Amino acid sequence: MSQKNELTHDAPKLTLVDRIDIIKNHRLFPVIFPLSMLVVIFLIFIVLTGGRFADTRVLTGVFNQSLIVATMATAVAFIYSTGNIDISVGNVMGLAACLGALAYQVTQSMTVMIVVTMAVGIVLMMFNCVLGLVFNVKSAMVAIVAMSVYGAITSVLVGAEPIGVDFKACKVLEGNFRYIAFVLYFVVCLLAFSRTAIGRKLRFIGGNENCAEQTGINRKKAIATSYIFAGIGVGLAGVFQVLRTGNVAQTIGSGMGMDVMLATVLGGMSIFGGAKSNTFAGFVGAVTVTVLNTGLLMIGVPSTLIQGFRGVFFLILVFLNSERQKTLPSRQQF
Amino acid sequence: MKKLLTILLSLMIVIGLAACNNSGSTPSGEGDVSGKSYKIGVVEVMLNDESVIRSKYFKEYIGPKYNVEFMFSEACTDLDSVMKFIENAAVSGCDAILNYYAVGANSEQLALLCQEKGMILVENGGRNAANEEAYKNYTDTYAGGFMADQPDTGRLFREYLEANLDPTVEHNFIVGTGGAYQGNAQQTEISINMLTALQDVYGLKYDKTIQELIESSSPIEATNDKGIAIYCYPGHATAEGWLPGLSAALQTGTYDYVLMSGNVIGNIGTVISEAEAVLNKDITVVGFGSFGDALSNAMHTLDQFGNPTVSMSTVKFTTLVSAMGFAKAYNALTGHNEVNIDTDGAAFTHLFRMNAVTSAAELDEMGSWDKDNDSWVADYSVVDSFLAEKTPGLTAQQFQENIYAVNYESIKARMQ
Amino acid sequence: MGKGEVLVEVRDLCKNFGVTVALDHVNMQIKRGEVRGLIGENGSGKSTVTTIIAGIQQATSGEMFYKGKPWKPQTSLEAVKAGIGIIVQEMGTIPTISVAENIFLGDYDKFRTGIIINRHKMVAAAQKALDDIGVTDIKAGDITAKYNMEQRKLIEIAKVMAHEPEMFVVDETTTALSESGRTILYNLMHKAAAEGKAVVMISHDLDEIMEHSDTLTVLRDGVIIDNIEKKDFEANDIKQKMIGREVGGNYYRVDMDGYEEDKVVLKADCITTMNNLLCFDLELHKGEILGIGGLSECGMHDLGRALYGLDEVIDGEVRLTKNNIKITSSEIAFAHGMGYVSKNRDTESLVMNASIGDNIASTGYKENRGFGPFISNKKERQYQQLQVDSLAIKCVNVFQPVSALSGGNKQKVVFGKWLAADSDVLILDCPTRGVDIGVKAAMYQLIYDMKKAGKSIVLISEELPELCGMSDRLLIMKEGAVTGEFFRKEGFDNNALIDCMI
Repeated sequence: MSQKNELTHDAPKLTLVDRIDIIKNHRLFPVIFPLSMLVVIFLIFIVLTGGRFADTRVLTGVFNQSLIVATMATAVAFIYSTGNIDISVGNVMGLAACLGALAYQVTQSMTVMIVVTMAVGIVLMMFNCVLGLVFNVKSAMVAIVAMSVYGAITSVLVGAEPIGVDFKACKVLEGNFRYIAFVLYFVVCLLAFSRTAIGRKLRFIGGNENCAEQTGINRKKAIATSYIFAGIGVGLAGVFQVLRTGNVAQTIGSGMGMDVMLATVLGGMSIFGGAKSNTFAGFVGAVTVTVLNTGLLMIGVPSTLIQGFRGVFFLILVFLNSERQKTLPSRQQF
Repeated sequence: MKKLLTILLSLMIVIGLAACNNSGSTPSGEGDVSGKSYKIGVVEVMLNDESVIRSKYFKEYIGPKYNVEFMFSEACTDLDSVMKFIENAAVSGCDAILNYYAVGANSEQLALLCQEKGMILVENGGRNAANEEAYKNYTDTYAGGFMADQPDTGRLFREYLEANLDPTVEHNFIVGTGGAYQGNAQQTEISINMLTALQDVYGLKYDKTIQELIESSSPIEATNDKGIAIYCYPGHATAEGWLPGLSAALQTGTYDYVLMSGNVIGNIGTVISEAEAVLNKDITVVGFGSFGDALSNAMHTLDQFGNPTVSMSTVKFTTLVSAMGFAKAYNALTGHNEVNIDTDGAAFTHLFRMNAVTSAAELDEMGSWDKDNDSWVADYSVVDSFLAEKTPGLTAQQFQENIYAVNYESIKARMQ
Repeated sequence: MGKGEVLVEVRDLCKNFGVTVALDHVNMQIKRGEVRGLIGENGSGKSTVTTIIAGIQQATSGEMFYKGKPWKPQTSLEAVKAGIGIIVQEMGTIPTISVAENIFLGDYDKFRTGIIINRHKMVAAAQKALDDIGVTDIKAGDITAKYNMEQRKLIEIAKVMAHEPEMFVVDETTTALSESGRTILYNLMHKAAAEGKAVVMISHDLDEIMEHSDTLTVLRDGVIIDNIEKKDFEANDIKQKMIGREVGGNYYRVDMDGYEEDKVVLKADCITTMNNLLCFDLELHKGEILGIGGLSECGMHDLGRALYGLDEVIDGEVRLTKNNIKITSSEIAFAHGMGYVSKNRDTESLVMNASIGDNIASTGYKENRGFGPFISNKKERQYQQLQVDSLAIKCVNVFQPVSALSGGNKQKVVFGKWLAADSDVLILDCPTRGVDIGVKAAMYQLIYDMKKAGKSIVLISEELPELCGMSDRLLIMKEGAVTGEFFRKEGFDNNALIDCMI
């Protein structure tokens, strides 16, 4: 024992870099860091706006504006966690919303719109999944094709004039319905992902597919499950989108696949999935983006500069979030 | 090492951005209108020459004098981003929104949003069937629209064609109807007037009605009793296949006049000169335009026959249009909303007239105006004439007259 | 250039990984003309010292000297150019490029004219490098993926030797090599030493290292414990120094316990797979340790995969007799009480970035459910902690990622995962590969305990002593078929076994 103490005593001092590494490798780091960054940014804006940023109006605004991307990112976390990437989710959402809006125009029923949008979201995501699994095509490839196909269908269906849904009817549902639906979905995802075998299996597959197979996990079943969860979320985001703007324009959802990816990364999750995946990174990331947008505007940063400032913030955040875990030399990878 | 590099790069970007921003001087804040100050949010659709001039004009010229602060959006390309900006503008303390993303169908929704947030909404657009509700039922919030006087723009084209086409010399025409089939007001008016002008000049009679011709979403031959080839070619220059289609039509060698209702001068230049070179034939272009390099080049560059590429175009003055929008919002904010109300009780749409340009010299002259604080077309005297606070007893109609009073001659007189 | 001259010297070398101290003030001299053995348990710092010398990573503090001058390489390429080569433990080849490109990786310049690389010249040079080390069955122009793991290791050896190093390190290389491959390597080492170069050899295999090294350095927990001359080599003494305590000379089972010969639990009935097996029969009994041995490519690894449903059985069937379940996938196998430990621990048995706990808990999603489909935190923690404690896995807590563990501890996690699952039938493919003797002994004890608990085990191994030491029954395979069956109760005859293999 005494010998051991002597050894520790003699050991070289930890450098700052070592200490940072220890913190960064802590298991809770990916959870706590993005959240604390969000809080820090938030506090900075409160100070810079002289407290106006803490106003309830601002807070509800931030929540409302984050909702769609947050829902999508929560959904897509299921897919990302297995190491699959699907950038077509924006267009899936768009097409789902488009068909939902068309269904509304025919029936004038909000319920039909919601059901159709959700159903289309799930069906399209399953379609992506089946293409990938049955034909053994990489999910990213499927998504690239799906993205342009769905986008094209949407723009044909919508045409030049946006498809309108009575925005007053939307307004009725906009408040409570949206909050309840989102919170419900978010909590279900959170529980399914962190507290049931579904999430464990997905993370395990993302961490090591071979190992998962040898541990009796059926990869195809698990991935299909992940796409169903994602489909529900994407459909829900489609409903939110219709409810928010009351119409569906030709370009709906295009580029949103990237927003979702950005939110996920800012939230501290790797889009390559694996053991440290979670379903709340997307929410944190989406809120971070909105807080930045709103805050920069409120403190009077000119619109021409906002994009640049945001870019720098993102760069720093992603850099700090990124994981470069050191391994012992015997396991050095070449 | 990598960390250091990242931090350095980030810093460079920040410093670079800050440096870019230093060029703008801050408003002095010493307005001559005492009392309340206002803040207006501007929804921009595109960041281009026009938005740069507008930003400079509002921030440096209008802001200090009328004690108004302006806040500009990033380029908003969909309704969601417009709504986000309006919400953020509200929490940033804006009192009014100047919306350049005006799609008729959204007006009521945005009006409702602004009403909830306690803001005035002014839109760059006019009254139509889709936004009737906003115009009628939201007059406390919705201060109406401002836009070009489209029939007048159409008139400019008609008059030019009628004056310059010789009825005894036969020409064949391509008429770009643009978005008329989708209901675009400007392109509808211009297309109608162009087709009417051809009808009048040659005394011809179309087999179809002009309305049918411009409503076609696919190219259509406007057959007529005089046998003049008139090819109605709809669509936007940005659409896939539009330019090749135009090129193919020109290469047939049939047409020697190209009349364009949309702002496509920058897009079609190459196609025109190609066709001229191949066919060894002069092609005359008449089309809607705007100040900028595209139009300037087209007017200054002479083709192989010694003619400018574009023979006639129309332009508008950005600050005049911007001042109209500002004035409508300011009038509503200062309690003079009556200036925004029409005789039928609905919101009023104020109109401005475009200017015809037929030569490089004219273009250069007008182009030298509206450049900076010394040459704004809508100077303080003009803006004052739009404001009820400065022009006691101002009515909506009078406001309109005052806008019309800002024309080529009056500006020229002022600039000298 | 004389023998005995100090080629590399390290002074006070320290290396930390976060809080983990991998090297603690290490002093060492490597002399020309000697084969220096480095031995120690997993995580003792053997690989750390050599990778620092070879420029793969940098020390936290301390000095190094090479040929009498200060030596501080920043990259392995710099070290290679200066004459220090290393054959690493892991795969160091890129499968998707040609053998020749692998051999001259990062060093294409000498074949370059302007911007064009002369491939013919490079392939010819690579072929010569392979010939020089005595490898004849590899074509330098082929794509590397065409060759198996052993051949790729030989390619790596050729790569290191092609640069004519003054000193080279052989890091746990022999585990990946067959007898003939080993002979090639041993010859190279001794030839180099004879030419006045220096060789450093790292191995777990005590017999091997005692036979081939001239001086032996024992490391434990990042500290050098002793330097031993060849004349003083004594196996038990070295073991004791490595582990820091007395180790019995015998760590295999010594009993002659039988098994329930009339009770078949797993049956393979004339199975044929795309890999190696053609109408293969096998019966595993309750409480039996069934050893499967043979040369690396004899099909025994494929047999393990086929039994567990990982390789598709295209004809015939594998059945668990208990519920008469046909095994067609690993999902079914797992669901009915089977377990499988792959020979490729890092790439197949573990999720490296996941924590120890997550890895262990991966077999218990069903058992650990609390309310409805929800997993009970408490049950899961118990499930994990039980294994960590009973296997004495060296870690701070169960949240530590397995990637930070040493090889032996990683393998313990793999075992823990299957022990926790309480599988009735376990297929162990090379379970002690790359594990030091301390852990090995523990593994053998575990396997024996499982047998006593009535579990049935298929033990696939490339090491004959291990098979002889542990099996109740031993099958020797060659080219996908059984060539000999031996029984513990009759005693195993090494020569007879080897005859069946070759």
